[in-house]
Amino acid sequence: MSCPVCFSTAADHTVREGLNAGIFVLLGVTFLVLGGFARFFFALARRARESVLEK
Amino acid sequence: MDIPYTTDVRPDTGLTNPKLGMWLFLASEVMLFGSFFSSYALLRVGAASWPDQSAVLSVPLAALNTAVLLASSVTIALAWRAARQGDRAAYRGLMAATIALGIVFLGVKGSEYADKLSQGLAPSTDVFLGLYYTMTGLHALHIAAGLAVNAYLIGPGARMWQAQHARFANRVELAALYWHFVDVIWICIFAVFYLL
Repeated sequence: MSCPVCFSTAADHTVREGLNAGIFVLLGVTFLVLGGFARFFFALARRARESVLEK
Repeated sequence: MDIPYTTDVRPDTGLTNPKLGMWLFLASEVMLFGSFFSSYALLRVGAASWPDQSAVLSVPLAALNTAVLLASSVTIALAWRAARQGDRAAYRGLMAATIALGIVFLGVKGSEYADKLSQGLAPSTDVFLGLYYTMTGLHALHIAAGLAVNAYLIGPGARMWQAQHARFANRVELAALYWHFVDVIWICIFAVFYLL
């Protein structure tokens, strides 16, 4: 691992790819969880709308 | 005062409060395991060389453990159904089978650890084995926690069967939800550590 000054040299190519892979995996997991929350909130909004219409 | 919506579904969320709590807990667990899988991707892709995983680890033993955990997911789902239907004997038998399968899983994992350690393959040997022991160990801890909950539900927790049957059946459902989650995590670990 090198410091940010020479991080983009060819020697750190694999490290950079590794960092990218790690970031993308964690982004995928985060989007999965946040997507679940978003879906839940949409379901809450739909239920609230339906209950207003029923009344 | 009774805790509201322990058995009845809340009209606004469409869930009982305990089930909503369990889903939130599982979301935090997904983030926990997700960070480990992210570390795995970072270290593996960034490594100059990586061992042949299936040559180091025992794929047949892991496949056996996968089958054992899948079978335990079936038995706990049937235990929940038996609990809902009020069939106590079937519930006890199926929950006991789930616990037994969980113990078999931990036994196989323990023998795998012992085999690796006897060959000098410790967590400090290399990055791959460090990740392997950390992630499978964390998963085994989750299995042990699930076993403790299942043992409680077949033992002292089952006193609720008569007095608050619907609430008890909901508890079994939540335990089953957690158990399925641990099962899914194992399948991800199996694919990443043994097959890829």
